[in-house]
Amino acid sequence: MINAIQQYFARLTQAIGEGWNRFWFTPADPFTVSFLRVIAGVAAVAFVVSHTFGLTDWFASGGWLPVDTVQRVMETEPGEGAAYQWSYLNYIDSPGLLWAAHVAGIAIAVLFTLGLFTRITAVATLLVVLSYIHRAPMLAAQFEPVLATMIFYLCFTPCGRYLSVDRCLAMRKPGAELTTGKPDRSWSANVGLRLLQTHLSALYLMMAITKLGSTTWWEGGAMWWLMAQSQSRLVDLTFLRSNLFLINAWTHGVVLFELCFGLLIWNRLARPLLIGLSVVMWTLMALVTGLVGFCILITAGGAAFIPGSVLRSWFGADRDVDQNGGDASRRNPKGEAATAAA
Amino acid sequence: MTAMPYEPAPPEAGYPGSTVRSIVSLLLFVHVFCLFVALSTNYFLSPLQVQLLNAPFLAPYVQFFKIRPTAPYHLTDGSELSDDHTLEVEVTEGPQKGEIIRLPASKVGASSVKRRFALLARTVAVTSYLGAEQNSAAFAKAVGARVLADGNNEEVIVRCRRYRPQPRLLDTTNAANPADPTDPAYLTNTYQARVWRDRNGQVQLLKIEEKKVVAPLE
Repeated sequence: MINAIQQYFARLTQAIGEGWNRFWFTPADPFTVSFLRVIAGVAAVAFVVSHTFGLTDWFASGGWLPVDTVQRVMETEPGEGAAYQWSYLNYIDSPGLLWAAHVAGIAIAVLFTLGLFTRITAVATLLVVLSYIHRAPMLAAQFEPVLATMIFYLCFTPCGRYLSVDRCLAMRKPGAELTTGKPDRSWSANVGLRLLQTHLSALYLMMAITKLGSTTWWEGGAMWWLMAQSQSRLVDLTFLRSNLFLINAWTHGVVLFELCFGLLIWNRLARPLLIGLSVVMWTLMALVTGLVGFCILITAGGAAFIPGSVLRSWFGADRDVDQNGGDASRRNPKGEAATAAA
Repeated sequence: MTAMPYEPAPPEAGYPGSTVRSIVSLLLFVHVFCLFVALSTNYFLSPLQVQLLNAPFLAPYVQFFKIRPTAPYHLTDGSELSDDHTLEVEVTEGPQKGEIIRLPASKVGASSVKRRFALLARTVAVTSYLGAEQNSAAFAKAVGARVLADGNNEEVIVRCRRYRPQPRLLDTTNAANPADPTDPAYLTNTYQARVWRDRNGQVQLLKIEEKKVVAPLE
């Protein structure tokens, strides 16, 4: 009996260890992280550029949000300033320097999007985005944390391997043709993808659980309260006021979808359906709430679950793969298991 | 109970070396733990979660990298905390006397600037609702100081106003609920304060309390 229990635990720990290694360290096609880099890069550029309007009005000395006001409000202990909210913008209050830093920030985000010196510009873009967020945390809403974490995870991956200037430069080097016949699979690309997938799944579950903590989502009236916000909505859908059951169904549908996405996205069969539904759900949500950036980014984040081979075919980039089915996911005896997103 | 003999699977090609794998696994484990604590809730926190989120090993990581989102991801809870708010400044003394400036005053970069002012207005309102009046006052003072400086004004009143949402069952015969959702009848004051410059040039703030209706005892 004791022997059997010992064997059981030996098998359990070994299986967990192997599962862990397979989940995190199976090399993946970096095309998916490269695609996500472009999405995160465009979002980062849009985010930083959006500060151009009224940059000095907000952040310069005597602006709407002076540094000392923000620091005082955010401080955890009196007189200590805001903890863990470092931003280089806290040290700049002259309009000239602020504009110089802003232009530099935009340039860095553009280079990251284009994929030039990606390893360096990824980290630099993260610092730029975090600096704008931490300079005025009260102006950050649902969009900013998603953007920051997306770039954070991409920093650990070879996200400049494809769809990038770095790749064009590498191709020009002598002997480059020899290495372009098949995708360079990388375990760090898989780690980044898994981190993104885990985070997205946890975020969906958190959104669903938080909604379930509020009576208005249980009672089915939450979508009405969102529609009735006259200033933030993009489209006035209050003509639906007489369709109580539709409002109720929409409210419950949102919670159900978020729960399902968080849990079932790991199921290969349910994945395409959930990604498709997420486009519909977040488009409607953007119209009702006006949270356009957040809705676009979280929908696009679903691409973390799309295998590199599928994205390649969408972009006509499968010519990078050798003509004999050189994609390692097809050569792997375990079939789809080798694809990071699968 | 018969134990099945266990045959370990052959190591996969392409894995990093065992030392790298061990170090990365440890970091991943710590990260997943932080992620679980940070994203297990967005609204209600148990004392254990509060303690963990403020722990010296976890707080810098989840706060600096914004792994713990503080925005309301439930989007609405049906209370005034989730409603749209706006900031307006009425000039009471100075060259622009009588003028009411609704922020944002400029239409340039309308959507992003409007969004930021809406977030600032909501922050003033939420801190006021939650009783953190010193924070509402700090923001109102900054806004007031800016308008004082811009127009060379002497005194202003900064107001944070809430757009009360229309009820679903709309009775238009009731004057409190007009058909137009932007009608001033839907606007209520959440926080207001008088801001002025004293003789020393320092900006001062005094909160204006709403008049309360008291029923006569007799």
